[in-house]
Amino acid sequence: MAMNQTVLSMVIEVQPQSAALLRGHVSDFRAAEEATTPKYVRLREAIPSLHFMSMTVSDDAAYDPVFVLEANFDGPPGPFWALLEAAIGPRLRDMFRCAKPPGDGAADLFAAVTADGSTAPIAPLLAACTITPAVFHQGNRGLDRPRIDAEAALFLAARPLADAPTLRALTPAAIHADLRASLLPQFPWLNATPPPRIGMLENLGDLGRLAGFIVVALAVLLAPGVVLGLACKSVWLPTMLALAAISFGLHLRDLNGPSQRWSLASGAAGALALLTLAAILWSATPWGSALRSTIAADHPVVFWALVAVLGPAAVATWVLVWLRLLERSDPSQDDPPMDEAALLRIARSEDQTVQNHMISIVHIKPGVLRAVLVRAGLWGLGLLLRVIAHDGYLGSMRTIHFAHWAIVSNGGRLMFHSNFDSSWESYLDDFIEKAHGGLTLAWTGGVGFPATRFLVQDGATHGRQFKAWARHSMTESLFWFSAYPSLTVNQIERQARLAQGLRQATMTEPEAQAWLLDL
Amino acid sequence: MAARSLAVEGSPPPESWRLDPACAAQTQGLLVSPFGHLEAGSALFLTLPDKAGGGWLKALRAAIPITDATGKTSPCTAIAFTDSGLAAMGLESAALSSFSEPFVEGLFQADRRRRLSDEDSLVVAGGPLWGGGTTKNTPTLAVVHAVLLLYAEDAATAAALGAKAHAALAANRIFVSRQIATSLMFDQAGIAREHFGFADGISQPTPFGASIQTPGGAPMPPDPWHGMAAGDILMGHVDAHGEPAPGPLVQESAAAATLPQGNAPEGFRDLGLNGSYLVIRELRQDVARFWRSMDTAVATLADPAIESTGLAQRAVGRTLNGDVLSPNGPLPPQGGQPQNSFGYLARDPHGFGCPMGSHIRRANPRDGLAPTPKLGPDLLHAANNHRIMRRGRKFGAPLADPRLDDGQDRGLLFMALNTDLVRQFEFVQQNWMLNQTFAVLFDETDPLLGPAGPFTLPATPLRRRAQVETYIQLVGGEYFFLPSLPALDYLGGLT
Repeated sequence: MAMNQTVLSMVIEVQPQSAALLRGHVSDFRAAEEATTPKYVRLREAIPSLHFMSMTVSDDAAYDPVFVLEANFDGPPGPFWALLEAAIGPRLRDMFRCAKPPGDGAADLFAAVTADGSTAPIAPLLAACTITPAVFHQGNRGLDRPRIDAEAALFLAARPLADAPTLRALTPAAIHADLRASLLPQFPWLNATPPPRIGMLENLGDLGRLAGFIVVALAVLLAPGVVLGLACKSVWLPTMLALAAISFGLHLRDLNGPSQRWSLASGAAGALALLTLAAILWSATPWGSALRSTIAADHPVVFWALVAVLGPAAVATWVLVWLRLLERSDPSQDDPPMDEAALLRIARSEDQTVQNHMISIVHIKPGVLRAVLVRAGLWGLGLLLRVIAHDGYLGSMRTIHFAHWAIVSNGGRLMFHSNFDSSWESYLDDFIEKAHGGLTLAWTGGVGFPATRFLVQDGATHGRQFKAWARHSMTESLFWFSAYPSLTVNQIERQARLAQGLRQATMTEPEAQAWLLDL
Repeated sequence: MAARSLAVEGSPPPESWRLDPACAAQTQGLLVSPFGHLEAGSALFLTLPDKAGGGWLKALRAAIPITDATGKTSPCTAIAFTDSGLAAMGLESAALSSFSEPFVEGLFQADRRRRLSDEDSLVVAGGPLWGGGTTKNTPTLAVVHAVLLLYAEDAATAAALGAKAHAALAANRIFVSRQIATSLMFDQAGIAREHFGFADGISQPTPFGASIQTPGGAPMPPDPWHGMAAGDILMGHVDAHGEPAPGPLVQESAAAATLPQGNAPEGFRDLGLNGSYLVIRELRQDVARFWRSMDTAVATLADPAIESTGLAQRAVGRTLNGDVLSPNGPLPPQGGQPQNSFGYLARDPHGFGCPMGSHIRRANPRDGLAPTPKLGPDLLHAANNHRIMRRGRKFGAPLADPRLDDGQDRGLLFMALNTDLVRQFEFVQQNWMLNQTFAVLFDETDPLLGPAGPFTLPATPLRRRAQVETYIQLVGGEYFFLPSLPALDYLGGLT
């Protein structure tokens, strides 16, 4: 069975006065785990399913601080919470004591966990405070921690063997056979077949969920036309829908240019659509029977086909006009305030290994359209990534181990976590240069985000503004654990290819030559 | 964003370029030219007294004019200032903090040193020996406030120019804390070489934008291989992000009235327009150690096909004469010059010719980081967003016997112009040069600049791994502001 990875965050509000104490608890935890030799080995061994974990206390002028625990691990949450509690239970309990009691159903759990001398299990509280990501992305899908560890050890063992000058006289297939024979005693698992990285059921599930999303989206677009069609089977309905779509479409074109106004053509089409709507309403009354056409009765297929095409067109163009009007007047922040001391703390913790971590929390723009689009956009993006980003690539970039967006604070804020390779600057440049569409879609709902067009255009390509905005939204990662801090996503894939080749008893010469490039 | 034209291997090299005349008259000549016609020169690193004001600069420019970008002259000069230098001259603190963060923090700020690997074995003992000494910096022995660069046809003219500069500086109690005689080190064939023996300064970006022209005055078309937005070397011009590259501002005042409005908001004047940031790093090269390291590595490799020069060429990625290595032998020169219109993806995707981790492939990966052929143009375009304009010169005499050290100082005075220090110079240094995981490599860095370690030579059937040592060390360095001529006038008026 393929092993799935879980990506989640636990978020709880902090008593403001206790925030400093909580930071102290987290820092103590970090210091204790860094004091082991090698660093973090205790945690690494205590939770063999854990890939990455971070703890942050995030401040915000409009909110009390929140405590965020982000975890990326193998398998479902239940066993992971149990392992985490077994490893650091007392520390977690102290941390929770700095939090505000949750106002919802978790209040009882919280009281039990934080009571003086309590030994009540913490795992249920962790589970109750968990927030499921709105969208997440994973670089090395289907590789669990034990497998990454094992393949890393294999890579390190194979590399010096390949330095032997005697091997160069052999053919690629003979080199493969030689290396396999040398490594098999130390790595007997090379004789076993690993589970598929992404099982067939999972693939089907991903496809099904994406298809479901598309069906729901289409249904939402269809619904208004269908309702109107059921209420009024008049020839005027398709006419009105067509005029509305034309009017909104023309206006949309205007909105992309410098003009703010409705153009004459767009306005005229809009006015005609309104007149038609009035005619429909009138014809729907008993007195308007003269205007009532029987197209629906005579040609039901034609009628419903027209409604099915023109209805969604009118709704979609209307939503886009609404969105575009909002986007044009959205305030984007040129010069977000930066706390120099905080930035220095962030910089200090960065670039210590080949990986880095970031957490960012931003406010979500107001309004009902934004509330819907933020959720629908993230939901759709997440489902799409599951289907198209199997190999970890976002466009041409493959530097993300685990990243996720989650909506927090009752829909008021958007939280982003990423565990990525290389420097923060290069990560952001990658987004700006190579994958700005998806990123813009995910973040365009953030207050102050650079000016965007149609949800996915511009936005992050305003490189300087975007970097400043992203930087200012970040919080220092007080605690950050990576189970394999020297490995990039690409290196993990390279190791996986190397291992896959060594599992094969024989290879053809061309196969072996291609495989040897990874050594 | 400029429309992209298709990059074709072996296409003719781009025409030379110039600034439009109005802009050229305001810009220092170093921005448009490495002064390749002037072989000799020197770099004078200046230390100012407290409250130095700008009078000394005025007096210096009266004795030695600072070269503008309007045409070829001789001799040539350039001047640039550190953050601490501008502070010593009395630039207002609001203006100082309008410079970019790396400039204000300094090259040797602790986190920056870690990011750029300016630590441990890569710095000379007790170093860095000089820097801008801003408050956040690692303290250095010598604190540098400004650099005066002098260029002349020969050593004698350069010395005379230097003496004139010294006199003008001494008269104003400006201390020359470090002086480095520089040269281009042309060999008899007229090839400029660095101390290890390699032709250098071969590949440069070609700017394009509203202010960039061909020699005939026509708009400069973006070069498909090496095109760089003008704003990536000129503050106030449109940069790779499609926005005017930000520069420092000063508050509106009578003294600032001669500064252009440029991109400055209401109440300010543009101090940065037509200026740039100049990165200077004094890199000491241990030539004998380099060649002995190659000898040792070759002995360990035990491959009769690889001798020391061959390994050194693989480490650089070019032949000694500058031709890029390719799977079927070096690319032939084009019009007497090493060919430079090339990518890696189609011809050498695995680095069998020019290794993935070689110096030139790290310094500019071109299209070589693309995971699929289709993405080549995107990655080439992305790589060109991180280019720097190099203006380096060599110092010290060539070593007579390349394997026998003579105890003399020699190396490269690395100089590079860019407007976004983080996106350009620092990115190249951190994410390409010294990145241990560059291009799916593991645990190795640049074979020339990096610490001792492995260097992978891709080959069939099996790659080789050479063990290389450290033979280039950082002596000192800093980020400088290279002002426009109007900005120099303004700085000269500071009290």
